Amino acid sequence: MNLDHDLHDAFRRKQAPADLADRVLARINEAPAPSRQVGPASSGVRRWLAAAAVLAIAAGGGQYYAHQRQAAEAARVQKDLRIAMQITSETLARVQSKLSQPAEERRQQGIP
Amino acid sequence: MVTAVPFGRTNAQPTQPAPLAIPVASPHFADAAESQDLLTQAKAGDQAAFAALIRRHQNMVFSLALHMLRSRPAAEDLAQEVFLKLYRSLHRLESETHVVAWLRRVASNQCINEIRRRNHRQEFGTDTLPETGQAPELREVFVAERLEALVAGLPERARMVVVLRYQEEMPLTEIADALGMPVNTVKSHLRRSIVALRERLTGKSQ
Repeated sequence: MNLDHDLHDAFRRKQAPADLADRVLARINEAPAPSRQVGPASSGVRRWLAAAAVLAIAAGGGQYYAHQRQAAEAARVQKDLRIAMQITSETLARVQSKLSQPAEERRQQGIP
Repeated sequence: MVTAVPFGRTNAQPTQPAPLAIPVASPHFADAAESQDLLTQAKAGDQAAFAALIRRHQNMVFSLALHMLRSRPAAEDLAQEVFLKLYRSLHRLESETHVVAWLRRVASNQCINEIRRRNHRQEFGTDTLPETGQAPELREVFVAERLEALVAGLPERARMVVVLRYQEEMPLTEIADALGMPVNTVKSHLRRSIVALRERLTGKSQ
């Protein structure tokens, strides 16, 4: 027995079905457009476009965030200013009212 | 005592010096040029050229699948899948040699994956192959069939090594490339498979 020879015999190439190529072509034609039509160049361009879009969105988001923060800060300063002015106004009003009291009343109240 | 199987055997062992050939007149050269033309045309979208390319290699791919899966319908399906993949990968292939190596690699991996997926493998290793219970003369008559059955019982990667070695007569280095494994692993798979097959065929199990 020559095993090497027997194995070559046993594993000899067999005949494929005659219509194999036709069946493959039929499947190619019924399938959606093959990915090879996309091509490496255009897929590269797509990748760059996607990266640029991500960067633009990130930059826009950053700018929007900075703008919002600035607006909030301005609103806070405005509110503080309004309160300060209100306090000042009330103090001035109190002083004004006291200045307008008659001298006798002020003496009775011990105000110089 | 088991005889060692020669490794690294080449397909052709000329005993006489080969005569000088003029490349342009060589049929092999013309064939290669024709194959290159087919590949170029197929890459340009010529379906007739792609069909011719399939017909050129369909026996190789179909036989690999048939020897691994042992089912004609499954082998036909697998061969179709391999050629569909080839169609989608044509732009990456540069030559006929490249196409052949690509087809062998993809077909081999598809076969291994298919066997794993279907879990068709019978889990007996090279040391637990089924016993021969047939008379010697009957064994000789059906030796090819019996060998195929015994090889089908090997683990899928060892089986693929045997099929690539004996169907395609590939050198061990090319088998290693196709299957993505070290050459020493290929040698080991082949040696152990051959020893086990020889023992089972001669009824000398240890």
